[in-house]
Amino acid sequence: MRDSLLAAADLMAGTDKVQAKAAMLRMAQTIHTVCRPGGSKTIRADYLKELLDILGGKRPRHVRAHATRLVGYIGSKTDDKALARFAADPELKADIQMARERLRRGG
Amino acid sequence: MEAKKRVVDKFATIFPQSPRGANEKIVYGHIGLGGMGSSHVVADSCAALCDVDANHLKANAAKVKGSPLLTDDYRRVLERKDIDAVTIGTPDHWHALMTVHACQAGKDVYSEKPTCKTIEEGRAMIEAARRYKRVVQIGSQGRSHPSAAVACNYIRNGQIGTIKEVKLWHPNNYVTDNSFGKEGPAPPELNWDMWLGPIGWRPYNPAIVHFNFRWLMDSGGGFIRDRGNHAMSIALWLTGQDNWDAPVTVTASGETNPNSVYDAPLTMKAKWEFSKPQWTLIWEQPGVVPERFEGEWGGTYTGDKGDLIVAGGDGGCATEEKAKLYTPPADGFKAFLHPENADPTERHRRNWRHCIKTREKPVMDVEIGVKVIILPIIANIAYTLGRKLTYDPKTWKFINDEEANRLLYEPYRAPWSLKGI
Repeated sequence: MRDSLLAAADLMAGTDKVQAKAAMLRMAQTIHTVCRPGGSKTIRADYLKELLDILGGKRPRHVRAHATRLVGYIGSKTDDKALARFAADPELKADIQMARERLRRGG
Repeated sequence: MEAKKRVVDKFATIFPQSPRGANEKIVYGHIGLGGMGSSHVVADSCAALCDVDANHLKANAAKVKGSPLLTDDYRRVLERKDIDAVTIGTPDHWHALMTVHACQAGKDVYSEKPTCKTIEEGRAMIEAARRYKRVVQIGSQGRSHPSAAVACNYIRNGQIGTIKEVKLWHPNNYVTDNSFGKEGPAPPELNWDMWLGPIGWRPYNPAIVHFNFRWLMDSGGGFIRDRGNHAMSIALWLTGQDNWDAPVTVTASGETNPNSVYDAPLTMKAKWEFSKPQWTLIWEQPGVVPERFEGEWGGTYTGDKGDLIVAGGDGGCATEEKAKLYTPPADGFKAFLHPENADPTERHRRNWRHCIKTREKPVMDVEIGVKVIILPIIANIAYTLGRKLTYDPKTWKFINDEEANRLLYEPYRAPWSLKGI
């Protein structure tokens, strides 16, 4: 069974800073693990969907920004459209710009 | 934003770079004035001081003669045609961008270590220095330390045989307190947006400003990239591997402090296995200080005929008696030391000033600086990804790892950009 990024995002949004930091690192670690060369494309797509849900949701800025950054790590050029929808989000404008740039240069 | 872009665009000018007279005065602009940045200020030839913290500006303005320009925007310094050269002593995430822009503006550059934050930045720095024919010295002043030079002579003349392993030992990051700091508005003296510059936006937090920016991956990368730049500069110099150009594999592991805001690993172990020639470089944080020759940090150099310990490798450096007593043969290798005798940091700066006049490459030319910093950068990527990686310096990329290659580059927050050089 795979780890849920949504559950980690909830912890990251919480007031317990130790738990929040651990959740932030766990989300990144999960993403990096799934992106190992030869990793499952299906799982990758599932995680990508979760990340897009997080960045488009109502969690605090730092959680949404973290998810945005992670999309830049595992997304592809075809995910640019999904990010573009948030390009004018006043909270995430810079994060979206940076993640899109990484996507465009990535896969 | 438009005004900012206009200023950057103005830099596409190649300035004259003919050799200067030995007595001709160099006019400096100093960018980043906390810590080491402040030590570079030339009191009697300074036309501009720049820092995003007004307190740093005020303190340094009191040290210089005349009425230099005081600004929190380095682009105002680069616009000045009367300034020949700049020193950069900002947090790490600014080094590359400022160096590139300074080269474009026709300034020679002394930039603090670490050379840069990403490999793409390093390539841009080299390209800018060469295209605009600028003298760019990186502040790894161990290259100007007499003790490092005698160790270099000892090793490069075969006294320990063929190098097999260099083990670098170092204490943990200098933050053991459990603190997440308190995010909030920046104090009025600090231009927080300019402090962040090209990195992603985050709220001001006194726990990361100023010295402690080192312990965040975005702005510092931990001791392996910070002090590691010094230690690995010495390691490549002493082993004669400044131009290493064959694939290297890297593994890294470490632990962050779960109770603090800092995300760079507090402890770190990394291992690089070079292929041509075959030798191994190890970073241990914390490492075991050798009983035979102590020092807070340093390296043990092991060859097939013996070993040598070198402690430190920045402005402070010491090595064993056997290296100090060694005299290289007349036709043997002799490490270059800038001839003006001074403390190593000043000697390093004097080498840069000398090269500004002669247009020679300085002792820690940007290209060597990039070769050095690639090592901790790829180790941090291996740590982040949690897997062994193989980096090919010929292609500037990891072999068969698309995600790792995405981390060789960090997007900049608009409007900052390396484009246009």
